[in-house]
Amino acid sequence: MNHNPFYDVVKADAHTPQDVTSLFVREASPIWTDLQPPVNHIVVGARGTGKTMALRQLDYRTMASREEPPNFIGVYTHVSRISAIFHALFADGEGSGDKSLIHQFQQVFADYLALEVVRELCALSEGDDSLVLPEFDAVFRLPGGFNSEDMAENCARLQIQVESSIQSWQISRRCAWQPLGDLPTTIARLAQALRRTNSWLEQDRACLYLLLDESSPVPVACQSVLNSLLLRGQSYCVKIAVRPLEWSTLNTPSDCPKEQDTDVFVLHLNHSDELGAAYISHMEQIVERVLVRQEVSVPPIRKILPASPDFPYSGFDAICAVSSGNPQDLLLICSAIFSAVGNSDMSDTIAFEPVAPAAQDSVIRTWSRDFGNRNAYDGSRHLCRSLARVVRDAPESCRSIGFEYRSDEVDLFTDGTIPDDLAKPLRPAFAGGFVRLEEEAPVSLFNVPRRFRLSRGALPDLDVPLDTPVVPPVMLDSDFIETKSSTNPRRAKPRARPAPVVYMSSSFIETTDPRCATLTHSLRAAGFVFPKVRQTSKPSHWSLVARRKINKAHIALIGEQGPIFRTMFEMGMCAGATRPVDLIVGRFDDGETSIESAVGFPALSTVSHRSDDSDFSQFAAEARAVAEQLMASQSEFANVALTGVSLRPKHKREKTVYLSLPGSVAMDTLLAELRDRLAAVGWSLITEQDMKSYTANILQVPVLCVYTTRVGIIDTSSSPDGMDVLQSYKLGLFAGKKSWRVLHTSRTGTSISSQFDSFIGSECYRWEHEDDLVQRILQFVGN
Amino acid sequence: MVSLDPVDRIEVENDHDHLYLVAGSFEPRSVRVSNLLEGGIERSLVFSYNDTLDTEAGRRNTSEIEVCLRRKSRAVDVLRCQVADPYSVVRALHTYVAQERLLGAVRSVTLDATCFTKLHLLLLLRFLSDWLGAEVILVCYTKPLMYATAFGKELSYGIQRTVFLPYRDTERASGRTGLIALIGHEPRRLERIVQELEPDLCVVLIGEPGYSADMASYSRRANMSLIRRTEYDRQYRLASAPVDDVGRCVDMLTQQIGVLHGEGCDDVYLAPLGTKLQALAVDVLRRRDDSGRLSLAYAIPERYERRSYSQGFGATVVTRFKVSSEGTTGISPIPAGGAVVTDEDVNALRDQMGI
Repeated sequence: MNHNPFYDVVKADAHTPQDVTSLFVREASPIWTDLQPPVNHIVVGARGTGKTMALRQLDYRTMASREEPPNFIGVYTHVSRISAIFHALFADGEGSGDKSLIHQFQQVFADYLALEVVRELCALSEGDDSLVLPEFDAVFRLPGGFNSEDMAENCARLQIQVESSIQSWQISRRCAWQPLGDLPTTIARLAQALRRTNSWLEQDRACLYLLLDESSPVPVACQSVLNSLLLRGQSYCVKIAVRPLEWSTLNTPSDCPKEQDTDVFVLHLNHSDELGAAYISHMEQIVERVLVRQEVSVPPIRKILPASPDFPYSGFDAICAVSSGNPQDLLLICSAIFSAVGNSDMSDTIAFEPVAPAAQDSVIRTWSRDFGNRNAYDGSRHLCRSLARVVRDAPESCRSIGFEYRSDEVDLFTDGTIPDDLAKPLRPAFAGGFVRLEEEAPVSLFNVPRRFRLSRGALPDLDVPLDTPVVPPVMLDSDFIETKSSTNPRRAKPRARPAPVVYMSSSFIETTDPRCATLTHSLRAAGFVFPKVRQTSKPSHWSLVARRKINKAHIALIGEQGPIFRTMFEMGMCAGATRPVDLIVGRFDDGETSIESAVGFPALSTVSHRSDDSDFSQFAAEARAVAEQLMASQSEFANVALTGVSLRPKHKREKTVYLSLPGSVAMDTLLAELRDRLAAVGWSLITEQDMKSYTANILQVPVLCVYTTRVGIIDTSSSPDGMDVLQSYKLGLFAGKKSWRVLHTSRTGTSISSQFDSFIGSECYRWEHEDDLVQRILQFVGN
Repeated sequence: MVSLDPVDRIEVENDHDHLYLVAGSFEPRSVRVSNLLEGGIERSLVFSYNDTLDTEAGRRNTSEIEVCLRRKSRAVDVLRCQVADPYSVVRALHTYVAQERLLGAVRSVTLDATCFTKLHLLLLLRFLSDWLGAEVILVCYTKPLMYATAFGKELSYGIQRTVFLPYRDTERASGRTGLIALIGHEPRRLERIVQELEPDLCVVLIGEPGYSADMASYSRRANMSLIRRTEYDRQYRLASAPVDDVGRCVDMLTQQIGVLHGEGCDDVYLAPLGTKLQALAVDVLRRRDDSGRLSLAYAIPERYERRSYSQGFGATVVTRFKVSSEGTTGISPIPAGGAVVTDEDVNALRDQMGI
């Protein structure tokens, strides 16, 4: 006997019809009332929010298990499994760019789905006298007739034939398949035929409910086929369950948008906006249903899982908060807790003793870490680790941290892929990266926002939420490897890991400083190398030399010896480089520094220089120690999260310009006019405001904008000396990469530092009136 | 059939109908089997992946294989293929076979499995036995000394897409879906498969004993979140199978398939993300009559670690598959004829299906 009451209730697919009935709390489902009428629905919800449970309530088997007889036939099927074999096929088809080929594949998928529905109907009718199957000749009107005998087996054989045909096509680009007919028509005929043979079905309303679960992790072309079902709905209705952001537009295979008057309603299953008393109450009801199934009486869940102020992750309320509005996750956590405390043993004695808060706390931490490892993908994982490190190093600056769900397409909302009515409620949870929970003024220029919108499973106040297994490096016997690897004497030795290349900026130490040589020597002795750039007789602009060096470097040492805007410019170059460069902020003498303490950048220890140390021996020893420390902790360098490298979009937008104007310039009128005039010549405009919701901090926004457009206008009119630090950082982004263009503008009267007036890829312009600025921008874009 | 003794030379029968297949790679071990071959080979095909050609090591190794084979083989051809396309290798071979009129003319094949992806390997083995009609397939494999994971690196990065492919179609299965997940050093690829497939029952098959204690330990720790889930979720079970004993691995897979069938999961998916030799066990399983319906689930990475995927090479092992005429898997033969569906095709299909 398994005494973990949650052990087998997690996955709705696996429930029997009786369990589906008994475990479902109608009052706790925000969509149940709306879902029942015979109209077409798209149910949108993340994994585990209750889509399957809601759809399975309408399944014929579930309805038949109730006392009240059904007045329609609900056929439930799992589309993603059906469509699994079509993934590779459609990938091939889309790669070929042949639309007619895609249409043929869609026809095959439609036939496959129709056969699945018929097969499922046959399964429903087995052992159920009240459901009478029709003659399928009337459904599949094929020239040679259709063999209705042993229909289930016949459908199965046809489906295997489809699968074989698909493989044949993929191998030899040849296949043979005779289309069975138009899918909506076939389903409509099926519904009418069912109505004729089953008099208990109502005549004046849809009698066949197609319950298509997990319809969204399927190829877009398959989704179009499903959309075509929504076009007609008189004798049947369709309820499609999809995951957020994974459903394509409502276009059909013929590329016609779905008509507006076809009555398709979108139902959202999103509990995460209501993590309050209502959600906790609903979850309590669900858990009580689970506990009621036990053969012995079980105390209320709040007594079994008591809270304690000493352990923040204890108690039922904490579990609800950790589940982030996801009932399946809540049940999983409960199951993990009961499993950990030994309630899944095989003993007959059952005792639901309260679970110690410490044990709850421990299980939840482990569970959350697992969740992060399961759901975070490469880019977001890196981002999370870096942010986690920031939190760990400066816990007072960040109250909480979470991890990204999955969003490879940061522009998903703005390119029209998602209709507005779907996008709006989904945006906060899946916008990619970290989203501000609320608007707040950053404490300093670089501060990561104090509160993030937490994605599922994230834990507030957890020090370091992610933990990826790390195996300690293995000591290798290089002679042994060489002997094993080389059968050919000419074969080159395996290449050793290259030494890290360090870029040492003059803002860190001037080359004329007598300590520079000592420091350089120390870094070389520790194993670092310096970037080599080709020397030419022609004088090069300093930014070009810096860019060449940065693009070869792994680490950049930057300081505050020079003007701060120059430092920021170089930071921008590092963030805009093709390969992200880790930033280390360093200084030589004690004193307050603003950058690393504010942002949590890794910083070197202070290296002092005493006046009595005339031969720098003390300085050299300290510098050597710092260099060795730097070399020993290479893995700690990364801080790319702060510059948004993980959020760089894959595709750039053509004919789009990024405009960054300081607040002192009248934004609204200028922007409106500029948008109109750019639109007239086929260009569009983005500003940081458009990208703000996708990023965590003020440094990431420009990175996202720059990587989205490649062409920029940066105005630096706000500062009396013509440069402010953030704008110079943005200029640096453009200077960091070849082939990007930037127009550097400033109002007449402000002086642009000569260091920035003509760096590579930039043009400078001083303007007096806004009209002049608009004209110049249009001219710049036109070039 | 599944003897896996280390060898220091591989003798090939001097037949006129012999074919040797090998994949070039950036891994040093990719050249090993070609160097060990002895005897005259009629034809050699070197499959060159697109990502291999992007690296100097890949080009050098492929070139070395080609040079080596020109000394031992009458004809050597290099076929280009895409690492992200599941059927790319099979399609390239199909085209070659059609052009060279080799259908039915190849009796024995030597296959160096070392650097084919596991998905390509499984589809290739099925193609060789079910379609090309090869009677004897000699599969060679060179183990690495160690993988990049020993240095704290990943074997692959990102996931381009997941594919689910019918593999053994004896009958159309019922609704419940089972997954046997062979875990390896790439936990995120496996997690993606599990998340997308959402199986009704998932058997997490850990590779123990591993090639080495370190590798087994890494695999277990890397996949800990999935393994831990078996403790509190009924849909997840834990089992283990050795990573380099094909026979015992087949037995374990058969046993787990029996468990899945017993739970009503007739639609079984296999995610071969363990070792290459475990993938060979999957191929052996396909040939058995009691395996039921099998599909492959595979996550194709964005890119592999190319600089240090593996270091050196360990033992080279050889196994021989003899294909009996009745041992086919049920995949329909590829229809002859043009790309357009002919009336004859349709009529034949309708007769066959009783339409």
